[in-house]
Amino acid sequence: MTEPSSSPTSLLEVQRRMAAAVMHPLTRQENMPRRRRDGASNIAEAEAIIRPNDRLSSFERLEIYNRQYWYRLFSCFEEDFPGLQAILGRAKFDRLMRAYLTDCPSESFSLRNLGSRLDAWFDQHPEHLGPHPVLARDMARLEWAHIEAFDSEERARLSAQKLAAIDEHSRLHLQPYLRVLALSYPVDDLLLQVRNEDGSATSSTNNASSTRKRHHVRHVAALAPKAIHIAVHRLENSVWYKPLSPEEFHLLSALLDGKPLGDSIDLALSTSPLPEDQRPAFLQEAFANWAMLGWFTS
Amino acid sequence: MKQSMKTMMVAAAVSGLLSGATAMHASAAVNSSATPILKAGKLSFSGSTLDKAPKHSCKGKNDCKGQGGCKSSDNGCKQKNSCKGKGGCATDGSKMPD
Repeated sequence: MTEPSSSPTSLLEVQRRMAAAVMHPLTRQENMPRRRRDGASNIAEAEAIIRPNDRLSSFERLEIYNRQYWYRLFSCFEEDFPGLQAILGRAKFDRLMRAYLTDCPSESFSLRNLGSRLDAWFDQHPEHLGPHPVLARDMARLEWAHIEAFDSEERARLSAQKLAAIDEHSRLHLQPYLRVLALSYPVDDLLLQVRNEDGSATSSTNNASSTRKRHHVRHVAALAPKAIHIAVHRLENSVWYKPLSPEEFHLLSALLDGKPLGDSIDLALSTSPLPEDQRPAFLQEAFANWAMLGWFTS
Repeated sequence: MKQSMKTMMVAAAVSGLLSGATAMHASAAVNSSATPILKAGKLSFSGSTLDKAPKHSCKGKNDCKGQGGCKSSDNGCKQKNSCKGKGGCATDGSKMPD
């Protein structure tokens, strides 16, 4: 016998109660829990808002939606972080995914934002980073940057009029899809290998593909950590990983932080070993390349 | 950095910006394939663009690129069989109306 739950009095209330039930985390066995974390009975709640039919109880009908909601989240999360999954392995990745999505449930109309809090969440939950924590963290950051580069807005490029007015006090605006990363491992190469394996694998070659992925991960994990800088950006509907020198990384980071052009150059070159006589040519080439890629906006 | 040196550095940066923007506009006017992809870095999906991504992933559909909203509604029950044999996904076992 379940305790009675009050019947809803309006459509809005039904919608809210349905959403609360559907979005509540599943059990480890991927069932809808009989009791929620706050102690409320899901059986009573299901009976209050859903009728049974000749095959399924109210609870079972509600459970289908509860499961589908979470399966959809899991599917999206896996699709967004194949590199992290390759590094952690299936079991550890599953535990991480469930813990993260329980702590940071979807709050956006779009599931593309599902992993937006993962990097910050790792600060509180380093236990989920596995035996290669720096490598795993690097990969998670790259994969999130990839998502941002894939579908962030593209703004109009800098007009000739604005170009002509630039001086050392100008604050240059960069495309919203541009991300710069300072990493310790070449996870860009590793992610390309993992994605190639995923792209070429069929059901009959999945085992071989998984073995190759583990081999790629072991190879990269065995490398000594080394500072690597890359820009993740979009060009002609494709996402690209562009290697950056430390000077380029610091310069772009300062510009992205909104610092004036003169101060950004100062910051970028303050610790650079680049000889002074080579700096003008370096700056000219870097800015020419970035302008050709359309990174500067009005 | 001395002011004279700083002025020279800024001038070099602006000069690069101008030459890059000019080259970009010129290449766009002549032929879009002339984009300087060699300096773009590594293509994230080897040998393919986002236009060729798998079916059932809106990552392969450029209509959501740059507008947000990707993955909000496509193919929600793929590969999960919890509703199998119970009237089909998304019907939750209800009977078809007569």
